[in-house]
Amino acid sequence: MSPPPPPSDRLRMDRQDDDALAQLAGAGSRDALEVLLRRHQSKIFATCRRLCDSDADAYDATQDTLLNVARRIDRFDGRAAFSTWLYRVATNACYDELRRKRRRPAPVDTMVEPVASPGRTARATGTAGADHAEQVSDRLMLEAAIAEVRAEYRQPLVLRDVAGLDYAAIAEVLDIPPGTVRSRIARGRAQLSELISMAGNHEGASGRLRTEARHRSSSPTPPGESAT
Amino acid sequence: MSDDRTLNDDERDEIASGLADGELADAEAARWLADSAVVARRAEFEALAERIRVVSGPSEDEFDRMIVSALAAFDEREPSTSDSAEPGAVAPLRRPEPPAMDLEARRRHRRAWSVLSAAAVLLVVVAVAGLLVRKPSSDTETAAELSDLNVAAVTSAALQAESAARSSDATSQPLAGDGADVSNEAASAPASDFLPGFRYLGAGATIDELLARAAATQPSEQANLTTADGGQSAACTDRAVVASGRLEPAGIDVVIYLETDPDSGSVYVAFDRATCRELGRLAP
Repeated sequence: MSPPPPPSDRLRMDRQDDDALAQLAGAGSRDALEVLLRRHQSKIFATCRRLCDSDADAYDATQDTLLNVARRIDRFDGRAAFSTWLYRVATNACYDELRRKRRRPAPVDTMVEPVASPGRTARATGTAGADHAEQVSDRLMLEAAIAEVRAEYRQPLVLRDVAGLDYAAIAEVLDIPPGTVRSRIARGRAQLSELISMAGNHEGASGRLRTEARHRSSSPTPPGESAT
Repeated sequence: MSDDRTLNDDERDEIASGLADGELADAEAARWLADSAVVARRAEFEALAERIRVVSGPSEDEFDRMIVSALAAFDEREPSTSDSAEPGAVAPLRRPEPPAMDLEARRRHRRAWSVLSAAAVLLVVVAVAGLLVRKPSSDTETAAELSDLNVAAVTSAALQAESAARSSDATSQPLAGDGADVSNEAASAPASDFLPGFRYLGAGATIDELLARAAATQPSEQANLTTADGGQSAACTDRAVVASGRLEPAGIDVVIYLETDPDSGSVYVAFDRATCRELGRLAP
């Protein structure tokens, strides 16, 4: 293991852009790789978290992504931007994690149930507790809604809103035309907005949220096309 | 999209979404900013994006552990790399040339392989000679053994020594004296199948050789190991196992898995069974 670089070197590396650091790392610079991984890891985790179903899956997918990048950085040839390559690796790691998860026995669904009774929790714990319960409830409801968005819409939506990629980069990551990226992101947002609205408007909404979303997902007409 | 007709929901959403992402051309964006329904939808989408973006991540320590693991993988991949690359001297991106060190290592590897092969061939010849001396009457069986142990076709020294030992066992002739010692020596080439139920590839002198043998294994023989096996760490287990083998003369038990590679599809990956350290990989 090489010693940590002097502060001035580290500062210089911190100022390098991703592609330059990727080239240095590919040529054997451990420090460049570390700067690169640290720069992206929280965003990779956030992306994986929105694509996977749980924190644990997202953690595993993030770890796999970082390992794959470290092992294969010398294969990055610079034809695409580093971020495009990185998120392709991350997206594949999430797919792998979901595939692995499908092979394992399904755990009890703990994500949706608490949403149905936020009021009861609030009454039991007072005002501060109510605020916290509200936040937790809101977060769980959002997660449940995101999980219900059709995968083909969710992937570009997450790559845009969480990873911050532009449409052209998303098209490269997912290997679909830019026009399709544009329409899928719009439909994903519309579907998510509707799911959240449903969850917010009804008592015990999360249960209905799942039912309705499943109905929509199985419908031949995408949600955005049914102008009601 | 024209101004002279009412937008349907899909069209409005697509424009509002593109507007929120700054993906519309300036002229088009300016035109739609005058449409209150589009602007309201854009605001809704922007608020939604803010909510999606907020994710509570792992602690700093957990992130550090991930980085340490990734850097360890990097070190194992390139044990001889240095940090001498000059950050200021960044050329346009291209695949780096393989370092000269690799060529030298490859030459050393080839030399070691030649010496090992020669030694093993010698061992096989001595073993066969021992059989001939002990069994002068069973010409047919000896000829069959010699055919099996065609020295010129030796590709895996240790494996051949093992097969010579198996051939001599198959004759069911008790061996004694020096010849028996030689045979037992050959038979001592490790052949322990530590993963019952999976294909055992025998011993190989290089990891590439074992991987090539694994690549010939039928996919139907893959299965998942879901529990830790003996000294195997949990990180090794949740994968599709293809086969096991042994690296000689290092004496390393090897487990070979099938992994999905983000770049090139399926890849055979060999791990040291005891330490779970990756030893090599092969993309068929």
